[in-house]
Amino acid sequence: MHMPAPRKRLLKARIKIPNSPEAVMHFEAFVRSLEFLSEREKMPLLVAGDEVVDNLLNHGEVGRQGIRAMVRKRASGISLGLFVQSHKRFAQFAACLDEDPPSGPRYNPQLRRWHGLGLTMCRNLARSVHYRAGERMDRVFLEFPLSPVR
Amino acid sequence: MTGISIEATQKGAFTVLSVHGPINSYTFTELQEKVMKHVGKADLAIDLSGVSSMTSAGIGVMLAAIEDAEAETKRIYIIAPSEVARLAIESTGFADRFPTLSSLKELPA
Repeated sequence: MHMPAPRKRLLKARIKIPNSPEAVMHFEAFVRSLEFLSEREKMPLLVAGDEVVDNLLNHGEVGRQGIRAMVRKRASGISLGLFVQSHKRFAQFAACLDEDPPSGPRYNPQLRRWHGLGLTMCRNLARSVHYRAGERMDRVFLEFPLSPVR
Repeated sequence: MTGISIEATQKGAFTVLSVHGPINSYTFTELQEKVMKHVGKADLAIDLSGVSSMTSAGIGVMLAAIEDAEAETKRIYIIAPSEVARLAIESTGFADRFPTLSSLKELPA
């Protein structure tokens, strides 16, 4: 007798984050609520995701639709996708990364500010970080390895 | 609530700043103001055990504080960073720049 293969549980979740100063906290609450991630797997998503959300809000132009976040867990790893309404500043930043990626963070003593620190943090936390500008939506994709079961 | 709370206390020669809540682009100026008020003038301990998240904005404040303290030959320590704060510090690639103690009890005299 043929038995149908059991359907794999879809390990995926989405959230729409409003364009507001509370966005980072909404994102954190979302990640912390994901039952299909271990506590160890949540940590790099929280730190890198906070960084991207914070930057989208402060250096980009998040439209009325806010930020859409998606987390998916597969055998190959964990994906975090962040989507915002398309904006030229994002496209410029994404093009810069493709053409002339910064080698590391740089300190500006005049402004007393670090540049590229957040991107370095994301790159060190994630297996890959991609910024992709689109006609309607801009996208940031981060891939994280699975944490070994202890 | 998006704010942080920062409490300043004295422990021996050290001014201790105990930070609670998220450190991000919306909150880091408050931390920066408090840190700038004390750094370089006294030995400083920044307790990050109550930090719920930390972006590069917060990391930048810490790094500037460490630079300023060293320039004035004052001592500075990061105390008991929460798991997310510790990971944020480690993810910069230069965690060795952050003099870290696991508790206030470890502060030197």
